[in-house]
Amino acid sequence: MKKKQREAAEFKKKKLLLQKRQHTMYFVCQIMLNFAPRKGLSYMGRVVNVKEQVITTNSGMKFIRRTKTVEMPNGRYRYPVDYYDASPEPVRITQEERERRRIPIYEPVI
Amino acid sequence: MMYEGYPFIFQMNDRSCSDNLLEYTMQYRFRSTKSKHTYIVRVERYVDHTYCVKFFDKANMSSDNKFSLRSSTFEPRTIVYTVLNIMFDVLQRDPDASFFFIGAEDEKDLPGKATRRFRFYSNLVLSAISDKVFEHFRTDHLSLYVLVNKSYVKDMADYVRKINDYVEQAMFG
Repeated sequence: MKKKQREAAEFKKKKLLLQKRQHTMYFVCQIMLNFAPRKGLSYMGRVVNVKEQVITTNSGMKFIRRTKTVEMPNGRYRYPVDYYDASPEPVRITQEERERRRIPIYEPVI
Repeated sequence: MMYEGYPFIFQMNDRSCSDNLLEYTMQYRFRSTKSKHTYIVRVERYVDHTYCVKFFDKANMSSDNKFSLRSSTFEPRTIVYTVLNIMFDVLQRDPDASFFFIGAEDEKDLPGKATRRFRFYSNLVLSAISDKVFEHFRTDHLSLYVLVNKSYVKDMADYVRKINDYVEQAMFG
């Protein structure tokens, strides 16, 4: 009798363990599905849309304001903005622009 | 040292892809001691002592996007310093050399237009190379940066426009 009871208890324990494992695996699968790459993209932050706007300054310079819509893995969106020169022709870099853009601690080699 | 890169070696002059504008390609190689990756630097020599500098990870050699792929080794500055040193080596071999490079787009960029690589490279080149020897030009919508040798090139505007047209044709057809 005692042997049968022990066997039944062991069986019950194994069944519970199996259920627990299945339960855990279910949650692991759910989590993995949440983080799975969507539409074949595997990097963080997906660029959904890019909007470009031409801006003309008072001095007559034209810039393009580029706004990206980036979908983050948590489902929220970011809207990073950057600007670049709109002129199709090559632009000579002036001393003023150099001073503005250069990294201050770097010393020129040549 | 400020611009200390990895030691590099000159491999060969590759004449397999030459045409009426491209004369030959100088190939250099260096190995990162941090990530153990090997990088290949190809300096293409065009007519009028014009050189185009390109580099990529050797592991991505057979990929079509080898210039766009990121190696994620967290040492971009050391790699770019090494490429700068290679440029200076080319300048020692040919004192009339003018250079140009294009910042390749990565997965978050639009093709050509002011890419992240272009901004990083141009800021670094602006800081490292003064306007004593070279005149600097940029074209944002092509992510093109040109260093024109003052001692050799007389008509700079025409020279840069030629490079601009050539790159535009190569990129967009």
